[in-house]
Amino acid sequence: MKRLKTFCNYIATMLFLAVSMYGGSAYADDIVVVVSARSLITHLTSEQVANIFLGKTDVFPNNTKAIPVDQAEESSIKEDFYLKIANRSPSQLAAYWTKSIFTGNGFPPKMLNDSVAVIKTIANNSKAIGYVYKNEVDKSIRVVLVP
Amino acid sequence: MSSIIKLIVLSLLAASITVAKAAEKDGTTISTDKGDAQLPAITNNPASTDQPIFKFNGFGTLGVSHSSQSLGDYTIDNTVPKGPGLSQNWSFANDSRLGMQASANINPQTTAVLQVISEYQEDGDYRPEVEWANVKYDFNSKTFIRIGRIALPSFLYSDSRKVGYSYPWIHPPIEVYRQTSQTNSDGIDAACRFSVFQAMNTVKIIYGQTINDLPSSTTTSKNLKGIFDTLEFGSALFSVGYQDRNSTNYNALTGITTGPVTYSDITIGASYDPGDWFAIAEWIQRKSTTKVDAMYISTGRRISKFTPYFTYSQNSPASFVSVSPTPTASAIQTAKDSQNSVSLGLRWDFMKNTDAKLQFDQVRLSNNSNGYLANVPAGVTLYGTGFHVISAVVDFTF
Repeated sequence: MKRLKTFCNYIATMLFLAVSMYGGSAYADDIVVVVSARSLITHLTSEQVANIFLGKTDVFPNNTKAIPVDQAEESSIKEDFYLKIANRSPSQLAAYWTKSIFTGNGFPPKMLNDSVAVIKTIANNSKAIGYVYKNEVDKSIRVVLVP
Repeated sequence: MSSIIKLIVLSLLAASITVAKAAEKDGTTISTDKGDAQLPAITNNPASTDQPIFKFNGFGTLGVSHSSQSLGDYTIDNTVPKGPGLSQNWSFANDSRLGMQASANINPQTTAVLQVISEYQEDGDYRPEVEWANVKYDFNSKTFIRIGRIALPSFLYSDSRKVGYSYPWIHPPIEVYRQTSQTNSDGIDAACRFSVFQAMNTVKIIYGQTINDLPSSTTTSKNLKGIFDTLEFGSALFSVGYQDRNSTNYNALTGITTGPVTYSDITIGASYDPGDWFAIAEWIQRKSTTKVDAMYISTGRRISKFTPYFTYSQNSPASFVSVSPTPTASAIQTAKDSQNSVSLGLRWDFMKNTDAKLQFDQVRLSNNSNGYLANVPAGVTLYGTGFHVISAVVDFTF
């Protein structure tokens, strides 16, 4: 009986740990779409962000130029971002850009090495738009969408 | 290669050299808000938003196919002189190709592109040909004009039909895409994009001429005019198009010996692709002195790295619309060419920028024609018979 109780405690502890770890990682994995703190853009919809990142438009809703910047190739933030925003897996995204490049409709956004480069670029350029983890946001950039 | 294309290729090269020299002198620039002038910055600045001036990209497919019908060749286009079946047991002819593209950003509004493709062609070799050579000028983010050799957007996939990596199938359904094998036009096009309620609408107009080399003849089409409208709403896309052209391709279908014959195409396409699955349908009606229509429907599901798909495709026999010149006996027989295909396939995205596909087609010829089989010996009739085709490809981009 005592053994069973210990076992139950053990399971409960493991479940608690698993849930809190999952919760913690879910927090860290929160992706936010950001623009420069100096940009006039304050809010965007998922569809507007998807159109900018898929090259279907190159302006913000207020008709000013939008320059999207991507995270590094094969980074998990990039894969998660496109799954959330456009429901496109990495290979679907690659097929999409292949069609776009070879039909003359445009190239994918410039890829930067990491969030540090993304934040630095966006802080310095009011036309730029990118995505980083929520806990990486600083005063130089503004969150316009939590997809 | 026509002289207009030569001229464009030369001016592209000249423009590229000028831009390259200017870039060398100034160093790479970084765009910031500090003043209007672009600040000279360290080369390869990791925080720059600038795209490089030159881009080189390529695509290719290595494909092999086999047909169970040994009395005729299964060819995906009338430009392919022979294929699996009668001429070859296993054939690389239908789906193997290599394409290279160079593009240059001459200035923020102007881009130039040159695309060259090597594939099995009408005279039986793989000599590279210029697919596109054009200069594009963006008036603003929604309106552009292109001059040179440009893509002819007859179908949803006609401007990317040679780029296997961009679509789910081994090749777009042949009963439909064979109706217009020409993929480019020498001339001019212009497009304009605007919002209609929540949807994005794009209107494109085109004017030009084309030369299409076939195994036993050359079709020259002049005065090609077209208008194409595409409406995109979320995952849904709807497209209608109209084009006509004065063509020298008249002997086979009409028996008319003095040209030209006016061809006109009406095309309608629709697709829905929310990510996990897709559905695509297209219809074309091609009219000259005969009228033919063709359609396909296709659907597939994406399960991790695998995309199984199903396609049904068919074309109708052609009917003669004008009674003026009496068609020849061979024209009457050619007009009957009709077939349908049921295809099952699987795309596997097994590696970055690379896929492998396997497709099985069950083809049925109409009761009074040899369908689109090529090189069937005189007197052989395969009317009403069925056969199957197995194709495997590896598509890649770089």
